[in-house]
Amino acid sequence: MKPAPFDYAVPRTIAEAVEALGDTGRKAQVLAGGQSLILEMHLQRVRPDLVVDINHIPELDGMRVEGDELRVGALVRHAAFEPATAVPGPLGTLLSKTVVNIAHPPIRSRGTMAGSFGWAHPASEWCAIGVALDATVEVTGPDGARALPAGDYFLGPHRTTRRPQELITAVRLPLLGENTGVSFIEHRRTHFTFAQVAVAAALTVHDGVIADARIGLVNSADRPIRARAAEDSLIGTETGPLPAGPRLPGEHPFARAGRIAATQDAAPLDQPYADAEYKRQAIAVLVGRTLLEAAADQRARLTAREGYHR
Amino acid sequence: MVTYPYRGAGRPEAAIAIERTMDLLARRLGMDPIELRRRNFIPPDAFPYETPTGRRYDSGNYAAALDLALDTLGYEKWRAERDRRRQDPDALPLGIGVSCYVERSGGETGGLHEFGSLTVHEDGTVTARCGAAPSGQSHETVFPALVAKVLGIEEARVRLIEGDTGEQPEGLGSFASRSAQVAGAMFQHAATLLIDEARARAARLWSVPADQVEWVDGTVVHGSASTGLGDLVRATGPFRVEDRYEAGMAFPFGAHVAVTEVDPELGTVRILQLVAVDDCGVVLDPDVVHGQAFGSAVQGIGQALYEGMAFDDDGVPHLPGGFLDYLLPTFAEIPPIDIKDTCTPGPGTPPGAKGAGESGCIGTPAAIVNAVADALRIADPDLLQMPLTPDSVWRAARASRHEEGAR
Amino acid sequence: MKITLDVNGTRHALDVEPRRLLADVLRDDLKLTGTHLGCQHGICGACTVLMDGKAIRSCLVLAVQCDGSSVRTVEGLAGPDGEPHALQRAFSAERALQCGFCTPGFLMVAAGALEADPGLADDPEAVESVVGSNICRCTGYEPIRRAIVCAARAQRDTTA
Repeated sequence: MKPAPFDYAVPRTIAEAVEALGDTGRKAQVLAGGQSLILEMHLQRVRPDLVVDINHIPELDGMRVEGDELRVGALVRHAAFEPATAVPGPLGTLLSKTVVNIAHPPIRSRGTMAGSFGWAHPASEWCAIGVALDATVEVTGPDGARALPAGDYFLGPHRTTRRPQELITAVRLPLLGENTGVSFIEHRRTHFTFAQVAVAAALTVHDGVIADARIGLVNSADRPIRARAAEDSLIGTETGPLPAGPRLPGEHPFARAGRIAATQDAAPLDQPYADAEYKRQAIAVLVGRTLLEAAADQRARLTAREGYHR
Repeated sequence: MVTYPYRGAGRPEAAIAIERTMDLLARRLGMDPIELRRRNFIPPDAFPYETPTGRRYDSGNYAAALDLALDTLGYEKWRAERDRRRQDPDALPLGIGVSCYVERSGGETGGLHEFGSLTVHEDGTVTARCGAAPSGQSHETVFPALVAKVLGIEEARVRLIEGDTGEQPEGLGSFASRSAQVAGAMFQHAATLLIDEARARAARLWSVPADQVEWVDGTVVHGSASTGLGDLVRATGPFRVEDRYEAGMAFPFGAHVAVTEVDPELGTVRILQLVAVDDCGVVLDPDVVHGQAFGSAVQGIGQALYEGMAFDDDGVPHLPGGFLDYLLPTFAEIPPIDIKDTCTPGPGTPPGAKGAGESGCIGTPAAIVNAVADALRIADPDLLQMPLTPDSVWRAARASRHEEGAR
Repeated sequence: MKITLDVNGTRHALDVEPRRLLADVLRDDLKLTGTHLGCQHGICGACTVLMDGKAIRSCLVLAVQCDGSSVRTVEGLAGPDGEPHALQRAFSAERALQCGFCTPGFLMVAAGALEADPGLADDPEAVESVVGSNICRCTGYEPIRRAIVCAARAQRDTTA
């Protein structure tokens, strides 16, 4: 199938884009990378009356550090996060470790991080990281700009608190400190499909004790979620000697956190080849393994820093 | 729904049933599955062999293919590693699976022929026409080379035309692994017709008996007189030979061995090594045959692990995302693969070639499934149904293990 | 909508409906049928072309999005005298195609990577990510990987 007819607008400023989106009589879609949108338009599961192409708005491009946050403009492509040094500190490591799981280079050269937040797919890697790290989604609409906390931004599959007339202008992610270790593990059937389950983790450790834990779950509910109960179970825990992995002893705190995430935090939906029972198993295993890698990453950073100071 | 030719169609189902049964039988007998196969191979001197189901197997040396596969794999080394891991509760279980397949190539009686012609031009070049049409079998490379070799001329002087009903009145196609076996044999036959016709024409030209005219590398020779093909056409007029050639049915075979590692917590299967030994008789072009065998083995991996269609209660296939739901193997899924061959010539045609190119889809899936069953020591073979998706393997891994020699 | 497309160095003034895909405009309007349309879901990659030097799926980009951009298709790979591109020679030598349907897409994703990264020959992971961008049903990918490495080495050795 091919896309159904639509009108096409190419605004040059955010104001022009917001004006185009403001016509409530027509169902409008914002086109940034378009790698999900145009596929759905092919299948005519999405049939907009108006497509607003924001690719020619220079003020939406570029990312930069502002204070203790990374501000990612709406036109920054996935591929921008591939070098681990593109973003400072552990956040850069996390984003570069994650981005390789998003499709493949030709998709990553078009698709955008902000677009993922707009599309709000339950299996989106970026969205789970956003929820876990308390990101902020910046939108601008007819009534001005709003900053939406990612934590309560997602309402369900493809549903968010963004109003249809609002344009996402940027996503802001908090930078992570040097005492934080990160990891991202994705479980999928082949390289060319969505995650059955994936987990993002950031562990902040002071003197061998977990001070903060962030766990984002991909495709583990009808929206990207944060595993708060699992996180709570880790606070104050000593990381201790790390098992060689990947399999963890059942009594290890990371394995326990995995089970908590699977039973208390996740609300997985049945899918072909991954029913809810299997997904819970995969969540439990992946959370444990991702935490183990994050702890190892934190320890490696510590060792590198101590070596540097010595 | 669009349908399209697929490598190995029809044979993988038989191969998986037979090869899974062999492994199950071996377990019930408490016997090494390789030893059980060896004891039951049809010996090389029993060919041609009439099977109870009415087939006449043309030629084979099944043990030679299995030996080469196990040698290439380093079977003893992997077996030691498998046994070591069985004692180590932290290690991921590893299994070795074997599949010794026999397939039928060329087609069924009534479909074993191909039509073709060779036309000689005044510039000494030859146009070969054939009723088969390629979909990636390298006819353009292999057939001109074969004709040129028989005629003793450079390959560049032979051009192939296929797949055009304006050029060729009749033809069957490329299926049943029949390209080299049937169309190849047809071209070898046509080239000998061309040589006979050239000698007859030269004999008339020179008024000598045809049996005194020799064919030497594209030239007809009688004593000190010699004429090239182009001159012969100019002297004797349009020159074309054609025939409808009937080949014999053939039975290629081989042994595929897979080593897999299973993550029982997630159910993921990782292929650590795959060896595919095929015997398709005389190989006309090793690069082409090995390229087909490699691609076919990867397609077999797809069958074994990824390619499946789920249906809802109303029988509607669940494919809302197309290739996001029906998963083909990508480069990231390709393990180390060794492609080798043994050569047991096919007696059905002068070139001795049997069918090639579909073996991976036939032999590889059963080797992989047997390897996963070996890794998990699964008592109930029905628990493993292709594709071996992580969820199904995870469930199988939780089921009870078989006991050696248990009935 | 009136747009200007630079395709393989030739400027085309076109009037296209916004709903039309770059792939369809290349194939139907410009008769550049070397770009193959396979799944039309952005998965298989047969339709991959270069847009301003970057490999993209031409089935997931609207033609109107390319207004003013330069597009390179498989027809633009060979030299002006018809001399095959290093990648085309390598694909032939390594038998990196069987049925050939996926070949234009693999050639273009590799061409984009090769032009962006002269050191591709010495970066196996980057090559793997290129080969892992598209689907091939026939070859099992290994000959494609070899061909890309060969072409990358040839480029490195001629520019060194």
